[in-house]
Amino acid sequence: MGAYHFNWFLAWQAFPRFYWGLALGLELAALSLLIGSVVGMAGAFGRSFGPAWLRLIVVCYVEFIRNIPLLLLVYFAFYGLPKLGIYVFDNLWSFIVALSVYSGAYLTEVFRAGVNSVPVGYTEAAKAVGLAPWQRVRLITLPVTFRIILPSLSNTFISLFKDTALASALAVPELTYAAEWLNVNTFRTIEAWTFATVMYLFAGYGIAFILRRVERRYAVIR
Amino acid sequence: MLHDLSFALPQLLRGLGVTLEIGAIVVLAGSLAGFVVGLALLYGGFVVRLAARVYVDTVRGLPVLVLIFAIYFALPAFGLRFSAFQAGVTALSIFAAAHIAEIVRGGVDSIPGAQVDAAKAVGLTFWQRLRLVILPQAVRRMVPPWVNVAVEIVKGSALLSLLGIIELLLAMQNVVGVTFSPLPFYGVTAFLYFAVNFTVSRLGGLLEQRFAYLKY
Amino acid sequence: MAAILTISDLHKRFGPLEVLRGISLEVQAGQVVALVGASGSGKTTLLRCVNALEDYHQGSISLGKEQIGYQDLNGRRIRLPETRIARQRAGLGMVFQSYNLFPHMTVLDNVALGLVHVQKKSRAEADRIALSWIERVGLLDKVKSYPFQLSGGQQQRVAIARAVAMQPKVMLFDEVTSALDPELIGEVLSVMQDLARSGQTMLVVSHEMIFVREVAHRVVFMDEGVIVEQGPPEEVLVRPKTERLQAFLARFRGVLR
Repeated sequence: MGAYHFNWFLAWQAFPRFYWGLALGLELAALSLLIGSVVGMAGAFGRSFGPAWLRLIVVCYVEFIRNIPLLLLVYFAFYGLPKLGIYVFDNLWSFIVALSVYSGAYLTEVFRAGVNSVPVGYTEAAKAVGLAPWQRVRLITLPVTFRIILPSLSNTFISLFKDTALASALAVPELTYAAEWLNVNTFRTIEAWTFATVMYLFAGYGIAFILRRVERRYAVIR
Repeated sequence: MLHDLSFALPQLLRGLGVTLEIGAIVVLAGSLAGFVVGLALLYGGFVVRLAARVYVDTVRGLPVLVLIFAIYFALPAFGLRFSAFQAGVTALSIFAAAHIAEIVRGGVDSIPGAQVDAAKAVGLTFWQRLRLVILPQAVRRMVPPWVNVAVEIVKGSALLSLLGIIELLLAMQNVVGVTFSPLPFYGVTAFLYFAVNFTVSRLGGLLEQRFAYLKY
Repeated sequence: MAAILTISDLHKRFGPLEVLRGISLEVQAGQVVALVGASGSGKTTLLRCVNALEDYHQGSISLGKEQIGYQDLNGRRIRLPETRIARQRAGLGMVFQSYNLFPHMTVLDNVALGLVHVQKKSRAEADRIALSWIERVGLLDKVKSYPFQLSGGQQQRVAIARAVAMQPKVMLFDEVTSALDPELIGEVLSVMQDLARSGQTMLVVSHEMIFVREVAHRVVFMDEGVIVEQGPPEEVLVRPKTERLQAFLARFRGVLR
């Protein structure tokens, strides 16, 4: 039905909804990356340097979250938390909480790999200079780790951006929801999903391109 | 609560069965298709490689959910009649195939050119080289990412709940809708997903060990 | 006597760099020809052109009467289809600097592979032939081992067995001892010497000057893509005529006297 006359006027009309949906998706991804990074750093350090019980908690957290569907977490955040007495979150923040917890598990591994691949020579030189452990971490380990994991962080961000599509299940007005809206209200299925596809691809590869430029500038440490 | 559980558990297990069924079909179809597309990426003529590249990069650049909805909603507009289950499984298979194609390409590319030279020097033809020398070595490297794709597929099957397919997640939602203490069911469901994926990962680890004598 | 391997006016480029500039060479049956020269002189490239692992834009290479890799059709030179070339390669055995044994196969399977899949022998026949060659190179006790369990010298000997089991007309050796620890070089060279004595035609790229002097019937010195001098080892290595060869041999002074 929608195939024969591709409704370009519809594209023009629907564009704002899609555009703001895309913007919201990027914001959700960025916010979750930020919060998830805090979680990830804590997890990485806990796993690498903490006492045995902390290491166990981190391992369980990471393994558990990585093996369950994000959608389950999203539903739990929105429907399940209120039953535990946590009434704070609306649909938007429920999703952010869920995605942050989800990304935290992956980012723990990213940061852990980064910390472990800091060349031993750097930490030894830092020790030789006389830096205290906390100083070493702040001045040497973290900056170097960050440069090493920059590519992984970029990839994680793009993944998270694709995961924001699930926010549509909670009626959060991001890009996928915009496509669903168009689909349901106009029955122009081809147009709706073509726009969504094009915008996701455009945004995804566009961001990847930009991030690669940034990486080239910062990522190499040798 | 115990009464809830005795009524709910069979439903959940039935949902789990559907999830596993989806997983098995998609992994199989996706692996076969992905293998073919992977070879196309590696050895096809310019047009074939381009088509394969476009397919792989497009599908990998999209969220799974968009792919699922696009196929479920848009395909009928072309006159194809699909059940929700068929649409969902097809979409997931297309998704899986794209990722597996990239895995196949990466695995074969990582085989040192010297092995190809040696195989050529012995006088093996292209298909013989592929079958006897390249693929046996490449397969080992493909196992970990392939297992990851399998896990993602099981997690992706949960999205089919949005098409009304009663796999594990929707089964859980149905159960939760009827009972008044939903939390245990979130827990059980999460545990079931975890159990399935953890097992898949472990089996993958065993598979990888089977190839461990390849010291590359 | 007809040459078994004929290289005719071979030219090859890597991008703008001309690596082979008109190489012509004949190898008679049963001869051992050594290619020597500095790195970058083109000797490895020449070897790889012989069994069509590299392509080239001018010249021809023939094994017996058959041209390898290309054919002339109405005056135009076109590359043969890969299946034809694969069959041609069965007549040429190659041993590489980095052995390149197939890591997922045992020693026996490595050697028998070509016999079964290229020469279409039965498994039993192939195993019999393979075992005899494995014994010939002195590794019968390692028949069921995997490459990673062997030393470099042992792997290289298996590689030689793999190539020679196919009974090629010409064996190509590409600096086969360069990647080996010094104490392992000897065992490989003695296998090669054994092969030479049994009449195998060999084209050997090597830095091992003592071996070259002892075993080669003819030494070919290459520099910057051309053959500068060639002749029997007593002449070429002891009484070099050109300055370039003299300069090259200077670094082996202690070895060759």
